Amino acid sequence: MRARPARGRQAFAWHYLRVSGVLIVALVFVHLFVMHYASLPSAATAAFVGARWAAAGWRAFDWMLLLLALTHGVVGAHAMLRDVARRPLSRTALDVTAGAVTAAFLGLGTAVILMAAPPGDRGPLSSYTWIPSLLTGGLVTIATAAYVGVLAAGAALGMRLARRDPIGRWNYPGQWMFAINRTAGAGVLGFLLVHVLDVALFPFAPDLYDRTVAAYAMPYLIPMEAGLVAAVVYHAFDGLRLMLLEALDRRASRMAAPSFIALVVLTISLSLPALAVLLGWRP
Amino acid sequence: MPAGRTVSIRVRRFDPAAGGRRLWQAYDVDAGPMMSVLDALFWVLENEDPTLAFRYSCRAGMCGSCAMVINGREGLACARRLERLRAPVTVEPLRSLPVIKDLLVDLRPFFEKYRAVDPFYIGQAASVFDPASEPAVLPRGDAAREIVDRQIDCIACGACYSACPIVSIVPEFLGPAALNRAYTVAADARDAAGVERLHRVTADGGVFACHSVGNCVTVCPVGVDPLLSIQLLRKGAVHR
Ligand code: HEM
Ligand code: FES
Repeated sequence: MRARPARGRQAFAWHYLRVSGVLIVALVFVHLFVMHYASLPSAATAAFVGARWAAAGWRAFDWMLLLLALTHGVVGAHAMLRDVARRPLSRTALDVTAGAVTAAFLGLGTAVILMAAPPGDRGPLSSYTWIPSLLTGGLVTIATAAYVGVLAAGAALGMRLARRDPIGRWNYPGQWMFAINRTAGAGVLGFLLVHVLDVALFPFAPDLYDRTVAAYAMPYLIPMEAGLVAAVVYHAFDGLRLMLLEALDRRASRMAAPSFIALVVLTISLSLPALAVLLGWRP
Repeated sequence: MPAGRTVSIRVRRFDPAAGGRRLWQAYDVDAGPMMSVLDALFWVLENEDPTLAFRYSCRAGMCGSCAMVINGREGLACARRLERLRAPVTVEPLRSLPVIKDLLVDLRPFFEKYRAVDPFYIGQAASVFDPASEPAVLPRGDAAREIVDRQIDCIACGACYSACPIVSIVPEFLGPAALNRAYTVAADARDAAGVERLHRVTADGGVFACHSVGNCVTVCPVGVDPLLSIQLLRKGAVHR
């Protein structure tokens, strides 16, 4: 017989991340394929989006993806931050922020998906030419933070290894799987928020939208874009691995090292085609 | 002791009386054959520094007193042989627990959480006091019993608690050892504590705080799989 577990915030997050994770997998991989294997992010111009959204099916697809990715990401990030925000006031602030971010981005995204593009390439916001610069600046900032973060972490670890100093819990494969999973989830959520903002230009200023999207071709951003593909692939497979492990009820957890190697191999091999496409390779 | 080779070990020292700074101290130990890390610590105690503090009892890998972090991995000092370790061998106290002195940690937070799950068998009052009651019958090959038999081997050394990153992030997380213990008693067909204990371990700070990192499984010196117990509790896969 099975007893009903008690409810708590952590129990809710745990269940929601799994249910939404399962539902989102197919959508995410179709999205990756369309945008990163068969095409380029910088080629997703207003004309491309307009043609795609002529089909109600694609609008429904994109809306489902937005709904699930946003709520999954916010629930995950909220649970992560709630573990470290200990004071009642900071916890309340966190709850309010999570709710506000979800409502704002879901509202904006839904409106954008439902709206038709204006005739011609100018829209009501077209005179605000600073918007593309701001969004591109945001992308460059995220990319810089990611590059500096990876280099700093690598240098810190390298120095400890060189001095034969203990490296904390990084001896354990589970630690790496966990840390990469979290970093990937948080990074993809951060990008999703910027991405909702840039797509929001489509109905309001198609010309500015095109200018923003063109920035994705900047060589400086390409490692980050490839990294995002890798992050999504890794996070998805690691999420599936966790759920499989939980479903199996066996001592599959002894498989930590082999599963970590499998995850890395899978992630690299599925991200390489996207990197090749980003670097200009065409089948 | 037969003349052996010299093995250098680096010990993370901490003395609250001497300013409370944590620093590394290196010793060159005369390592005999089959010498354990615990033996090396005794060598230091006898030959170099009588103030070195560490905990031990059985010296045979059974009591769990000597758990510490050896070359970055949690383990029992009496069960890790020097010759199998890469030198210099680093020895640190368990993580996530207050250090009292050197390698000696205060295990109170660990055992307080252990106690919080009612880590003992609670039977029905009638079956204990009523001489006419029938003893419980456990069917042969009972699947839950098989798991319980394995998981009950825990020696409460604290290695898993130290290796778990969630313990260090979430102060109220009960940790792998306590949750493993909770499963072994909750899955007992005769258990009468039931729903109450189950509610405690599935509330915040319980099994749903765990992210299945699995370091606990990697380090357990007696082959217990605390993550499996946590997974079974998450599913409510216990008798009720
Ligand atoms: C593609 C399919 C996906 C699957 C199968 C999936 C699965 C999961 C699972 C199972 C967890 C829980 C991990 C744990 O308990 O440690 C999780 C956490 C999380 N996910 Fe996803 N996810 C997916 C996509 C995404 C996307 C697109 C985002 C970003 C918007 C995202 C952001 C997060 C975040 C921030 C967490 C919290 C991380 C943590 O607490 O360690 N995930 N995901
Ligand atoms: S001293 Fe008892 S386990 Fe090491």
